[in-house]
Amino acid sequence: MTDLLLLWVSDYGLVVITLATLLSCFALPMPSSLMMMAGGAFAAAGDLVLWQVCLAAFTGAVTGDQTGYLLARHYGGDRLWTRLRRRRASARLLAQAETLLARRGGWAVYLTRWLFSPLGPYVNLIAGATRMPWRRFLLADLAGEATWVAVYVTLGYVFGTQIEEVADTLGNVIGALTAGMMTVLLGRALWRQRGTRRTPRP
Amino acid sequence: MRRKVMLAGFAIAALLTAFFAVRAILFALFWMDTPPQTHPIEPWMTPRYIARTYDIPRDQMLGILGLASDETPRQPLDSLARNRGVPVQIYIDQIEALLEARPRQ
Repeated sequence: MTDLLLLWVSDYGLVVITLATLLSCFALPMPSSLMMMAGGAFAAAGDLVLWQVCLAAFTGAVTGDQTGYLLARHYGGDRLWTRLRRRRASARLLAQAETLLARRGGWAVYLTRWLFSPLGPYVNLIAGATRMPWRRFLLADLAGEATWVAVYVTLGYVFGTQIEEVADTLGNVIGALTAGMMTVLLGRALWRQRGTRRTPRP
Repeated sequence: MRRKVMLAGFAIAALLTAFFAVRAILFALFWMDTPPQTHPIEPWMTPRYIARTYDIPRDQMLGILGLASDETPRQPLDSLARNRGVPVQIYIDQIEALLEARPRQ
């Protein structure tokens, strides 16, 4: 499977890289980081041009994120969110998510572009549904995707020969970081709940 | 009820963290263990990519592939072979034989 995708990168070049980063913004299983690395490796060999590889990956990623945000914001996502907020079962959790996004939204968007990248597609939808200011979302998105592209294309350029090994290792590091962050957040929420339980309810 | 769901989520997240961390370490060890030039030649690689990766001089690479003036080197071995109507394995075998024959660094 990876070999086939790498073959597409070397056969069709930039278009495939753009498509891969675009589709990965919709939580489709795409080894987009491996394909960006392949782009970097081919640039180092002289078969592709470095800035074009970066631009292709960046364009795909930003287009995908903006589409997710705008779809959630203008096509029913916000209505669904309001309805869920009225339901007692989910109201508190969603309200918490909303406060968190209002307070640290920029950072959440920035870090889920590259460091906690598996969460990116969902953060796009939540940001759109909660009507996070578009300008703030856009700025954090541009900065985050620029970081993502720069990191992986550079890795490909430098480690040309071993992109598959690097991609396997890094993919799991990102997985461990993302799951670790969720563990910490859930653990903290549980700890706080324990505190409130002791005090008798009015 | 909600607390139970959160506890289950916490346990799953913790297990996933450990799972990915172990895999990351194993892959890193495997990566450190593989010298760059022992990676097999694969059909997706382009001639220039192979030449750079395995440090093969240009004329030796051209000697194997014999690119005609209308053939671009900016294509993978696979499509080069397909356009010529020959199996790609021919070129892979020749390049690997060349790598075998030269003295190990």
